[in-house]
Amino acid sequence: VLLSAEPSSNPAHGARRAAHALALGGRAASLFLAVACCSLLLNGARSNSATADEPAVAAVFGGEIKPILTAKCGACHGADDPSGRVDFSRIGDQPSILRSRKLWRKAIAQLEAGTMPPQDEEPLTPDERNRLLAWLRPAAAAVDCANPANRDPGPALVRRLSLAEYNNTVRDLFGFEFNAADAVGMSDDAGAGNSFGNLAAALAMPPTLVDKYFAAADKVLDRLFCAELSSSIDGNIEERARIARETMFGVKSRAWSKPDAAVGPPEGVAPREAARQIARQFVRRAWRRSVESDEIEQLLKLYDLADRNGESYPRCVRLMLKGVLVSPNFLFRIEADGAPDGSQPVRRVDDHELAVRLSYFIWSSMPDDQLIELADQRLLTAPGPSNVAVKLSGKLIGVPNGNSPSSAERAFDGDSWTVYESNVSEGSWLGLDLGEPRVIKRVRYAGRPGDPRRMLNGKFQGSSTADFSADVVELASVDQPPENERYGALDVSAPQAVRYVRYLVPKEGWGNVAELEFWGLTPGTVLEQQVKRMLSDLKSRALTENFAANWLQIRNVALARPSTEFFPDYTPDVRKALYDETATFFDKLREEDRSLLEMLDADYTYLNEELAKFYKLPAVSGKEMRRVSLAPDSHRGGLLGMGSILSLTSHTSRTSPTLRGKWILDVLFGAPPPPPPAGVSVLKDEAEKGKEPQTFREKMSRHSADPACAACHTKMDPLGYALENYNAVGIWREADGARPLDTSGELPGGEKINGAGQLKELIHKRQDQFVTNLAEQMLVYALGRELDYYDDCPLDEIKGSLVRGEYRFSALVMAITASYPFQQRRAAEATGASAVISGSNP
Amino acid sequence: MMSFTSRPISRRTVLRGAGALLALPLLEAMTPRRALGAAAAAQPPVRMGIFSVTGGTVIESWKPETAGPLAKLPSILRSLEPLKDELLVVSGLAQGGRSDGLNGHEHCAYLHLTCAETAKREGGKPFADISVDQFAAQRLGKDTFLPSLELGLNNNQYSFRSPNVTVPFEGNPRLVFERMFRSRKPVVPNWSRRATTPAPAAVADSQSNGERGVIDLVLDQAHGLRRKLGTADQYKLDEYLESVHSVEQRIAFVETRHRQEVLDLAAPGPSQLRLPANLPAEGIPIWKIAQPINDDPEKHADYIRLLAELMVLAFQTDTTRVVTLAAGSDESLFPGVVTVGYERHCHTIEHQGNAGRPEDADPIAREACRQIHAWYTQLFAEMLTRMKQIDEGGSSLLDNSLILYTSYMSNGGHGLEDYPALLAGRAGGALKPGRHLVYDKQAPFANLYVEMLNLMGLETRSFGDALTSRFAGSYNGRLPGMLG
Repeated sequence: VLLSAEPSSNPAHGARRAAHALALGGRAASLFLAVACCSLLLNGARSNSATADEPAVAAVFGGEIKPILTAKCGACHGADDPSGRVDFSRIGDQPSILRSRKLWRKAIAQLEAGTMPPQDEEPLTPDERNRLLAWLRPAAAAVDCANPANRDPGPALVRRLSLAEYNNTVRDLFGFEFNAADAVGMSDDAGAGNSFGNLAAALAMPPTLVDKYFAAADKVLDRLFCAELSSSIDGNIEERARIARETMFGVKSRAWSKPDAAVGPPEGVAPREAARQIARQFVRRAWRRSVESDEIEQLLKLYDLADRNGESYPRCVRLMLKGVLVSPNFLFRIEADGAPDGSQPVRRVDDHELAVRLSYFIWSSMPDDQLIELADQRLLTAPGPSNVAVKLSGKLIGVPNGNSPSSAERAFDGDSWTVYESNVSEGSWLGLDLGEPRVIKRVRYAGRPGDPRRMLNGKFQGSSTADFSADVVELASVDQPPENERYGALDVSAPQAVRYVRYLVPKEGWGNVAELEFWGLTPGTVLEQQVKRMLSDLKSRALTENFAANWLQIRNVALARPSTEFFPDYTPDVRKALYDETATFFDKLREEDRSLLEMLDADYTYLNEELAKFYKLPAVSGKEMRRVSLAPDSHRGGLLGMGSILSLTSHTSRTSPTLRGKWILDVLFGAPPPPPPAGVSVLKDEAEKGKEPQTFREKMSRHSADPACAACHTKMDPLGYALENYNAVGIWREADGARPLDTSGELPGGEKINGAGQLKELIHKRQDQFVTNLAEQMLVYALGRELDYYDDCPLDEIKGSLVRGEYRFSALVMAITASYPFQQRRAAEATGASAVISGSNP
Repeated sequence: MMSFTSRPISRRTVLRGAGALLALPLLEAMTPRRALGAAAAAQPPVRMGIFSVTGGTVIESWKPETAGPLAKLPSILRSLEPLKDELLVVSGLAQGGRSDGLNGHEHCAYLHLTCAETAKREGGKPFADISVDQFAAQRLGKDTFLPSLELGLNNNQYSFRSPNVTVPFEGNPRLVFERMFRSRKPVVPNWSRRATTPAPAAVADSQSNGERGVIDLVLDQAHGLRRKLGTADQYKLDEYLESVHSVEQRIAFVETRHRQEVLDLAAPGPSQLRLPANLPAEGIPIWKIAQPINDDPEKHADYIRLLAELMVLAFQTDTTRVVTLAAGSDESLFPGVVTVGYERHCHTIEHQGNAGRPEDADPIAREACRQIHAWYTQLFAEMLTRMKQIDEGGSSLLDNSLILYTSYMSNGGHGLEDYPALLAGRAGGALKPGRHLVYDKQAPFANLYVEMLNLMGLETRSFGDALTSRFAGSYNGRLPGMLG
């Protein structure tokens, strides 16, 4: 399965497919065949079969299309100073037509919007326009995915860590939180033009930033070495930093709580040798690859330098660590160039590179120990069913007698600082329903910091019954108290498959346990296993924070400024709850591996007390977001029923059907209308003085009647009008003040919609376009670059997998990690297919 | 996707292709005349400041009625009345650059300090041209602790180091202060003593020694990596190398200038140092700074005052000679400042108060815009007053500065003609203020930058689209009458 995205490795097979494509092209000269294929493609039913009609598309271009382009577009888009760097004169032969697929798509959008040729140029005749469109539509889709020449993983990228990635990497490297934005004012990389904050091309490295990396390294190390003013930091962070330095220096737990603690190398080890060992351990994690010994020796020069200056042992090590943290090896994600044998233009990424790609995609952070270990053993790229035990996830089960309802979750949150406690001294237990029987190979655990003995004689058990009333299997028992603030692990001597697993608290144990992990076998390849494991880790919230929050634009909820005069209920707490509703909704799709289509419509959402009140829905108690089932008449469910989206697309005092329509086109369907032409004015409230007061709707239509505006507004506005029942902060209303609402509209194709219900139906009909867009967006996020024409085939395959996987969250992530551009890398200098894009990356 | 074709090579193309790394040696040759002669004359250096507000202006309340000597100032400029003799108001400037796929705010912002012929986004990255502040900083910056400062909660992109490398703005005043005085003490330079005492020999302390070791190491690593990478990837490492070099320069500066500043500490210049008293607490997230500012104009004013204080302090202590301050935010609310109508949200007011023709605009919202801009000017006037009080030994800091007060758009409707612009200060005596210059048929905004760079002692014949703009006319890149 892992290899499904690879091009056919059998050349004969590939050639046969290509020949088939040619034959098709010859037999059916009509381009409408390609059109049919293309719409099938959009339905996601098509997988990797060769049906594109490349030669036919090319033939028509030379005879029919190019003359129109030369005559009507050539003045601006010719070889001489091409406007917008679009130069039609360079396109002629079949490969150049193929490579221009992105351009063709833009051209279709411009023609459909009527924005090209511009108004002051000679227009196209209706016939020319029709002929162009009839050719462009199939041309934009014509690609033979079976042809290896059409395979290209895209430019080989060197990527700087984004702000979010930097913060998370520091967190996972040391085990304590650190925010470089607050500490040294590093700016957020997500913003205009770099929608997810992780596009390689946009991640520059100006001097001010390098300066901040130096300052940030100092502040991180201040925290690690207990050199911070302790009043300025969270006690929790302080404790984690202590554990981090004690672990790093091999010092006894709680021996290094004060800055002046005398810390030396372990007994019997020379200081320089001890420093070397620290460096070896640290650098391979920090630089996310195996490290050569000469690289360690180089770092030791810093140790020597500080030593010559008469610095203490910890300070000598500290200087070395600083060198690691400001190194290009830390700040950039670098993959080696060159194929192993120097001949292939494209090579598969190696295990460590794959581990890094995976972890930055799913976690926005460095690989954890298991990924690194698997990469060391070259198992991450291994084909076939895995034999590796992974940390299992499941639904929480247990006797509910913790101190708080969420207390049991703390034993499974991957954080050994948070603790489960029970209010009875014995008899409590907690565990997981694994969903189906799994063979358990190992358990890992951590005790309560300071009180690890409370786990002594605790038992790990499995069962086929949820209440452990029958078939109880002893997995392991804690015979030795775990070391304070460290993990313990036990192998299961006679592994067997069980669906329910638990930890049974010993006498006088008071439930106390910090972490519980059950490791077992799961189906699939090692890669698939790891992706699933990673997705069930809390760290994959990064997908919500860095992918979804940017894609859905809900970060802008913080910028919405509804007038306090009209909307006094829109309090800061409500604002936060609105963001949380959408974020939690997406996060739970991941956590519960649900269908991504639920974003379009769902019979549930997440609310807290404030938000339920704001929406005027039945009461919910507490500040936490809770899953709430929605009644059919609740007017909620799916993204378009969420106040976050509805308020971020509104003006201060009124709704904006245009912005809402634009959000739907742009965010849901990935088809943003072009920005308004320069010099366009906004709604003129006072423009028509002396006339009867108009409805808001009439004012809008006057604006949209302007031909310069109409092409796009006829697409956007009807979608937005359908949502008019939601006011500027997303509250349901039946009228706009004294005036009735008009929620009807007609789309350019003549399709009529009226109200939010029909809008949902319409979107449901175009669900395929939504899925395509979602796959595209997430692929952009995963690759850290904008997509190009050569990404058509991988996208097609990802969509196919997503459909087969019933649109589950994990199906999308899995398909992306298995995709050609994720698995492959351009190895050599621009050759073959890769040569063509070098122009876009000067 | 379209690759470069055989177009004539412009200066910009050369810069773009070669990258800033290659541009550096070139810059040595462009060192300003004044800087070279600085040791001889006891004259303080000229500083360049840009104070840029959001949302343009309301031109009928900004533009003085007549050209020539400044008479009574219009209402937006009224708070500058006591400083009238220090001002040169320049009317009739326009931006002619094109943009590709940008919204109105981005279009105006990218052109603002660059006057680029074309602005766009490429590979997700803003693309315009080098901005005037960075152009100056690259030439003046090596004489100071920091080449330039960019201050403010700026969501727009103004500063570009090169066509595709942007410079972030710092919104946290504490971090600005920390950056200015990392490993050095604030001290007022004694310009007359400096003119007679040569720079003492460098002393290195163990801290900078360690820092130097780290820098040597990472430079080594970057060179090694660079060799291993294909040419397409190398530019990322080049950028890193160049940036680390600038950190190295800062350390070298600390080493060599440390003694000079120690001498100044014993006998500082005549003016009093005033350190900012209300810096935010350490480790405060930026939203905690931004949110109160957006909601409360008094806090907003205090914040702009604090940034202005930092600009003045940076000039007074010669920490840098180039500062850009982006004031205001479209997202702000202005209750109390705006006293007409019911709307208080800046961006909404800007749009309602502007239209294709001023008479089409909502007059109430337009009055609200006017109130906001008069409020900005008040804060600007406070800064100039302080600069005028700072004695640098016979001349004031304002005398030795060239401060541009303007906006990134000409009005709240993304206007590109009739920009508000005024210069304050005398650029060390090169500029004769107290006048109003008017270019009725519009002149390229870039021409003002050409004039400013020349006033800074950087001989320049063109900048941005000064010669190619559709407003270029027969100005030949200059503003006639500028020097009086």
